[in-house]
Amino acid sequence: MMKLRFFLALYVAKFTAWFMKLFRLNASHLPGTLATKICPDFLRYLNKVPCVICVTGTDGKTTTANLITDLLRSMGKTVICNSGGSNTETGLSTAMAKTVTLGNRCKAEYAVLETDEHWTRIVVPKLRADYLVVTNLLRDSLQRNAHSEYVAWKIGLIDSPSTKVILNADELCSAGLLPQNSRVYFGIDRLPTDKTSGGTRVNDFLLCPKCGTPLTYDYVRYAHVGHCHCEGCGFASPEADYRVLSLDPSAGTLKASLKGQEEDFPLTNDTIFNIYNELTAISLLSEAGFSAEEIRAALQKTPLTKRRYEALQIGGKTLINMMAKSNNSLPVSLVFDHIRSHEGKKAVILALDDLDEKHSSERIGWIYDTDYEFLNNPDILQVIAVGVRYADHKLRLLLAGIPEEKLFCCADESEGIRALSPEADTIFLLHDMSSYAGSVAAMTQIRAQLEGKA
Amino acid sequence: MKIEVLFPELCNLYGDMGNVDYLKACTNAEILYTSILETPRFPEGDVSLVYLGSMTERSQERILKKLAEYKDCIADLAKEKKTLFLLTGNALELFCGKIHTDGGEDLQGLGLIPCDTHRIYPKRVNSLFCGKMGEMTVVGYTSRFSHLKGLQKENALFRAERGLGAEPGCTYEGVRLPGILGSYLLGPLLPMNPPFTEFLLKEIGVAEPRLAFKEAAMEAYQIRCEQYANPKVEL
Repeated sequence: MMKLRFFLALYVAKFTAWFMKLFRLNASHLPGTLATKICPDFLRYLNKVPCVICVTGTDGKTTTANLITDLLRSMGKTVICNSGGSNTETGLSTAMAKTVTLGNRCKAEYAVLETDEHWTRIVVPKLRADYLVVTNLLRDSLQRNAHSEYVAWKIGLIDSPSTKVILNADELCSAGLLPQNSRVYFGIDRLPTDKTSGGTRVNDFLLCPKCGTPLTYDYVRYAHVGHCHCEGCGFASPEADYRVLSLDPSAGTLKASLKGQEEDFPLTNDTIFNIYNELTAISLLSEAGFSAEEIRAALQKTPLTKRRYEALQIGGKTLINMMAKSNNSLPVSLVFDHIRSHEGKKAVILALDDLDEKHSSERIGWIYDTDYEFLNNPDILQVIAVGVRYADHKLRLLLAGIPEEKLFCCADESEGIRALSPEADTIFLLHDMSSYAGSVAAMTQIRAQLEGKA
Repeated sequence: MKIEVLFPELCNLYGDMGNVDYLKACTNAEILYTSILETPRFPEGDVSLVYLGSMTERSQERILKKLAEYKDCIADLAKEKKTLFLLTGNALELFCGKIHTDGGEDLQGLGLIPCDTHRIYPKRVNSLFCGKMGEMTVVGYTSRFSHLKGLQKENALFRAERGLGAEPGCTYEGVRLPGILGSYLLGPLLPMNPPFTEFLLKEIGVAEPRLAFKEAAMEAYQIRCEQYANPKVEL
């Protein structure tokens, strides 16, 4: 009976996807929603793809999943993924319905699935995932994710003994997940920019999880991400099997150790988040049996998406459009850190409204976890805050010590852009993922202004 | 004037340090940060305000064990209004009676607030909040795994006009007792509510409170009050 329901669900999912594609509708949810309603165990009944990779975590799961997909495809593999689609059970069901024929014969070699943290305990066992990659567990949306202990508890409920987990040795909220599963770790060795204390306002791992005494950080790069040990009981960050040993941004390369074997790889992007994303992908592919040479060749063909960072030279100035995931203190802190270390005189436009909250109001507590203090820098000549939440950003900027004369805050983005200081050599425009379309218009206006056409 | 911030390494989940930032900016107070491994300063009797922010559920147990040894001292200081204890987020639960967990072991609170806590973990409730303290509007939001049960109206801090109170169906929120102010509201509460901050400063003996960046804070506050009062804005 279940098998009949499964086939009905499969046919409905495929037909719905085809029908929606015909009318150019977004089919990321509905096919899977219908399939799981007809057959709740739809994912379990699908013929298993030879290699199923689930990627979860707070930050970087989309980029990492997309990178893994791109690398596999450039190696000539058939890959099904849910990029651009939903990462919940219905979204994964929509994606996975494509991996089989109407007769449930498998037609993909790999499935790379970005998976929402809350859904991992349900979908990872149903998918019989070969690998579960956890990028990190950091502070995230308050309403959904509360705190990282809660998310770690949820992921810890996964019952899938055959799934190998690939974990971040430098991030202790996730490093201890699923102790019963086989695992490997990735991590980045000490960098010249690392500190031994301080860094960001937020650190969610200050005390030893075994004995409760304060941890000693050998180095920290942001929040609690780094390497630490406990002088009380000997607890320490795990040793990484896959390590970035050093970076050469000018040559565009990184040196990595793959279980002791040193290899060079192209450096696709030199921001710390993206280095982790690249290392995660390298670790996963190595575990999946690909040689360093194959991974290297694939990386050479695969640039990172431009959407998160776009730089233009206009009228002697540099205009940089950066995505900074709002409602999320650490990525924004790191963007602010990047800005303050950028050479020259700068102006910053904060357009960080979360436009996804159309009928409600954004919870702005995250801006008090974010290091606005990084913008209090003599080379940052001006900070412009625009959008609905401009007044909240203004208060936060003032509390961060930024002189009021450096601030221009208003609801209207165009008005904010018109107030741009001509003294700045570099203009940073920061926007949230939900406001990307708006950033395109903003870039056009700034460009026209710099060219003297506005 | 001394303001003590208890256990900031554990009690700083939801922008709570914004409350401390704002207090620092509004006063010339010496801010003392006491870690979970250190001896609190407030028993010496010279601390005007003790602040405790939100924490994880696992941390509640550890912090309760720590505070239990000071229970009588806290009770005396609060009753005599020598020290005001400000508790935000789920910090106020530690001062209540029992924390009832579903399927787990109940935690014994300090018993200084006459009500109990019921955990609904892992279920989470979220709500914007718009209410009043006297004629003063208070805004914020709550995001939590628990409710207060048995809070009496005469001990409440705010009247709820929109949003979740102490528990579903309850028309008041927070706790106001001699020497104790507690609220589930996040925001952070103080920078988001400059009039409430002014009230708080008076409570701790500041004769003429001076709100930091008053114009900016009030502008943000007024925009929010208008927004939260709008029935079209979903909670």
